[in-house]
Amino acid sequence: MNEPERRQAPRRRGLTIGLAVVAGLVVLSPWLYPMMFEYYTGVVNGPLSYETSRKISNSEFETTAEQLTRETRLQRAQAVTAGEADAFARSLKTDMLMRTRSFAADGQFPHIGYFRDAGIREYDGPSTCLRCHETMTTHGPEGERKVVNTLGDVVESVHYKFQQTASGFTTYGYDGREVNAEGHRPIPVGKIDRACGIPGSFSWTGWAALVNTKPAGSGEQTVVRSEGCGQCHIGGGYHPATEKMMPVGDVPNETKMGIDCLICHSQVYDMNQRYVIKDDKGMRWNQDRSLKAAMAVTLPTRDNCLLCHQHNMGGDAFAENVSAKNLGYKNPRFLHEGAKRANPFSPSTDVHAAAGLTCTDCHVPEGHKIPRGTKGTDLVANDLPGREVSCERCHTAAPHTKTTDRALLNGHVDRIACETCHIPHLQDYNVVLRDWTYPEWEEKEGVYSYVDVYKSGEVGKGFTYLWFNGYGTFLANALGNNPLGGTAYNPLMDQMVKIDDPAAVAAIRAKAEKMKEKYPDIDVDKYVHEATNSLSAFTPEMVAKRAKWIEAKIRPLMNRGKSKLYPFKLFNARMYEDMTNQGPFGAMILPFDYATYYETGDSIASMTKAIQHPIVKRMYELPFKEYMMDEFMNYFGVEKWSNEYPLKDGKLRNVEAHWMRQMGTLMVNHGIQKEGLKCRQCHQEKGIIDFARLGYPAQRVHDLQNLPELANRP
Amino acid sequence: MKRRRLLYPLWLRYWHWTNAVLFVSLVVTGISLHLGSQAIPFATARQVHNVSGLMLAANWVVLVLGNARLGNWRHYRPELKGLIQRMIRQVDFYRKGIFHGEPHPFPPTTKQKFNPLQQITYLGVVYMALPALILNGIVYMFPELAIDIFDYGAIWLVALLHYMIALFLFVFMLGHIYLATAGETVTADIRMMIGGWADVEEDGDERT
Amino acid sequence: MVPRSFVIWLVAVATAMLVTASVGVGHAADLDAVEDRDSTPINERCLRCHGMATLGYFDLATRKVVSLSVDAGKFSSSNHSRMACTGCHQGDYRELPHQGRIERGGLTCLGCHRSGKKTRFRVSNFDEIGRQFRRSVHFKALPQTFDCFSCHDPHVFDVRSQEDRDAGMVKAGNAVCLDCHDAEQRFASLTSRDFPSLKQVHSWLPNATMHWRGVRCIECHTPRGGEDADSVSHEIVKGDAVERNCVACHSRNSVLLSRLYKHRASEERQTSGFIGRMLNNESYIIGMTRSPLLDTMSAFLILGTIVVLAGHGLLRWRSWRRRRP
Repeated sequence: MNEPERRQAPRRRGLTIGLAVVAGLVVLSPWLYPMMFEYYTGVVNGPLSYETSRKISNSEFETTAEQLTRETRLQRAQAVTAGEADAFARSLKTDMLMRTRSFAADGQFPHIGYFRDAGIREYDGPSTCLRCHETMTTHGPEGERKVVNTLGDVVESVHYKFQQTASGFTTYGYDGREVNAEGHRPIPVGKIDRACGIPGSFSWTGWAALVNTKPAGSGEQTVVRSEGCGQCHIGGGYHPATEKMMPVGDVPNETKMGIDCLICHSQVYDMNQRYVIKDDKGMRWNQDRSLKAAMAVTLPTRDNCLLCHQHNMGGDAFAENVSAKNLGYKNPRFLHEGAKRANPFSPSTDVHAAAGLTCTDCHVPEGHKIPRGTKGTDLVANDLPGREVSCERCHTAAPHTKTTDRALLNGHVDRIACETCHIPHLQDYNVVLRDWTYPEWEEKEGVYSYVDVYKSGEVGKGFTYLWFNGYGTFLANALGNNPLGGTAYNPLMDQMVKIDDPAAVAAIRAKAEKMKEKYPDIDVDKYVHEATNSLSAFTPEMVAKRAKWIEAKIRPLMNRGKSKLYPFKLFNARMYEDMTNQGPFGAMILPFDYATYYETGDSIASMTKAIQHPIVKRMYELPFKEYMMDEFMNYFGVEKWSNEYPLKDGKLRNVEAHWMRQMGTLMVNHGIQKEGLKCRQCHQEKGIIDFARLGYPAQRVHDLQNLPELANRP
Repeated sequence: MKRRRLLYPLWLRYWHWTNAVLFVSLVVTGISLHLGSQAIPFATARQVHNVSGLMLAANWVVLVLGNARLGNWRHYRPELKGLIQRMIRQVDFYRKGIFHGEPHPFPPTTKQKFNPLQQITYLGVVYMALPALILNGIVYMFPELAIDIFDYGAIWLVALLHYMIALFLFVFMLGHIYLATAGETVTADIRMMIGGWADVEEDGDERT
Repeated sequence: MVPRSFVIWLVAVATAMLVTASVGVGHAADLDAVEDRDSTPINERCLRCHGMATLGYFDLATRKVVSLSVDAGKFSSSNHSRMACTGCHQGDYRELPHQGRIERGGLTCLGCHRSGKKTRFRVSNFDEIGRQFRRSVHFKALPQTFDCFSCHDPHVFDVRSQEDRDAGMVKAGNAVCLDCHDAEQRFASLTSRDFPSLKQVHSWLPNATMHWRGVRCIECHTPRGGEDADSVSHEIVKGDAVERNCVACHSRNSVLLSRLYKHRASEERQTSGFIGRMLNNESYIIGMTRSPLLDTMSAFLILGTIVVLAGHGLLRWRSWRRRRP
């Protein structure tokens, strides 16, 4: 070896070692990354097993198949004969139908035969489905066919991820930027990380909880109950699919095997199997994995969707909510009175449901991706942005066809959305104001509960009409402006920050006086003032800054596109807020730990516990700040995310209870009535539409309230 | 002492004559198109002009790459010091000396085959006028790429520039052809451009 | 160059139009019923409903939406804006919604726009327009259904938009055609023929989109020689009958001179100043830089160069002969 070669040798050796280390890390990363991720975020994963998944014998299989076929046939027959008034005749007709060959041949469950032939005697979750359905064909809007990996299609859907890092939101930040639009850093947003005052928690901190309750009638017996966001969501793990929020890495395969295919696809899914189970890894939600449920697989029907979605439409208090009648064989779930939208989709409350339409008639899926339409105020991810879900797709541009007024009614379509006239009211348990900070004992469920300070399904109280161009702000405020233009319409300083209906204010006062019985420190006047004036939490300087900000950054968004009048459900909540992160549109709200809250009624202790959840702690650390929180808060109207963790040495710092600085406005699209509003309900001096607050000039308001054409009408 | 040297290697001669043919073709079709003359049918002229233009562009790329890789670019680089005086000397030669049979003030050598006037003109033609014309011509082929100015669209500006540069190059070509006869003999430069060889004065540097 | 007589004629026509427009009220006795001076309140009352953009109904017989809407903004800037709605639409409108049957039959352009009559309307030869229209491809294909209103909405028609500067005029002119020929639904509402793709049928035309931006469809789709002094030809011809010779337009004697550019008075074309002249002077007519001034200067430059070079050569030849032993 000569001189230069000898000099090279150590360098070469170093290089080799370096390369080997890198190669080793690359090879090991599929194992190392999840380990590090779980260590950092505190989430856990593990193999998921369910007691309901049980192997059955051949004879049991046949008995179940026979029973299932008979049960569903009977249901169908009873539906046909339901119109027969005489009970005896009804039962005779039902029996005849049950024996009719063609009737029996219809509506069979084809999977019974598939399972029989394939020897499948046990349902083991997705792995059983994937034996045949490894790939599937999706159909695009023009009928384009595409073959995709079925599991991937589900895992990438919003139903599984609850968020998206892509563009496609109809949401704008208060800073005027479209959320995740091309050109700036995309961040994961959606239900998974969007704060909300209705559930009072994030999906991480409120995923699954077991609560010791003392419901009325149980004596002194403690009943363990289930609660949490995971009760509806299809991922069966110990946490929402947190891994999907990261730029790299994926949900472990064993967790994907927790996906609940049957809740959407089985016609006999038993919601009584949906309760929280606790094992050595943590808490998660049980599922119905019986072979019987699997045998009854079809494409999703309305009943499947409504197992979960009636919760946000009709609410738990809605009499026809199936899930609310099947609360669990063990640790039963408990019910929530005030409803998010209170516009149930069911034959008794919606003309489309009555006509037999199913959800997917309008929300036409592409594979497992389901469109939610091109308009929206809430920050919810959208699987198929730009895919239209609208009345006009079926009804023509001239939908009124029968009455002599039809042309005039059609004329209104240019300015007024169909929903505005055809959703004349919501259910009366529609929650408008929810206070999480003064819990009260709820006897029926036997827990300490938040207080629904005000509920109403009436127009002007529980919901109102606003101009809407299809877009919303980061905290769900409808954007839009009077088509005549101008700055007279300014809901973020008016309709969305004030409750001034005298009846509503009186009801709030009455509630506050009742709350004072338990919390003597409540100053009723002050409480009512704060609840009905969202801006009261601000200094005058902050209010002025907000007004200026709206004209500079929000007004151009309000003027975008074409605005129409839409009905919007109003909502506000009183929660604890991290005041260090406050801007002119609000502060970061802090979640509650369900078990602590419901068991002790100590809201501060509950909040303190929830913010110690590892992932909330991580939010207050540098990597998360850089990865998403700064961007998130920019949209929120706060310049930078402050890393100051609100809990130091066991003491809360700069945490205050407030109502949010404006009411959220949620679109309501279901609960459509055949009969719309009548002309005079709006076109009169004290009509249900306040034309002046909608930005019409005085003369036009007068004209709209005094139409000569209506002079001779009732 | 003079020696016979290869001043223009084959690739340069190939480039020069291709360019000459394309130039003539473009001038003829260009004038025809410009005047809307039917001497050459409009469609034919358009086709020939477009194809020739693209070939000219490709040829120009060949020259620029060749110049860069094979060092030919050195001939285009004028020695700034005393450039004006040397250009005046060259002009004076064309103005007076040439009529008295005086020797060329800057005969071609292997180190510097252009005289100062040539250097400046060729520099302008090869590195400014030609690329401008080509770029401009390409925009002309995709007129929708030109952004709108006033109500008219920017295409008129493109057209005007194309016309002016082409005019300049045409005038240059006339001068170029004429001066090709002003070598040591009337045909000396033309033969040099065909064969590539020329008798050049021995340079000091050549000996190494 | 445009003949001087044309310019004088154009000015004369314009003046005549202005005069008739300002003093012509009294002359149009039979129009008094139409020209309601108090039209505003009537129109306002109509537009309260008919100004709604979506006013209309679904016609069960045709299974199509029939619009009853008038764009109030466009109407107010249209040529007919000063007329009362009831001047043209006659019927019983007292009941709301109107129950009486409203006849559409009486509505024609020629009812008011009669040629030879001295009216305050633009002096156009509507009889000639009628004759041209009956020769057009539209009338021949759809003699029953195609009428003036198929292209010209009397509530929107604004002759001033047609006299805009080039680009605006082209856009306004082509919009009339594209309303059907670039809108499959509207096209299908008139005829059951296949909807031809504009791009496809114009594939022979180099830079089709540039042409559409620069010239009107009727520049090519009306017969040569059909140019009228005052209005465009209404004899729309099919694509296979149109001029396909580039030079017809791209030349000094461009047919466009008598069409698209005819409204440009010659004084406008000869804008004073060197730059203005260079830019405006016929430069667009052939799509290139046909500025006679520039061309002349170029010719001088080229000739001058040749003369100088030839002179130099001659001197060289003479000195060479002199020096030759």
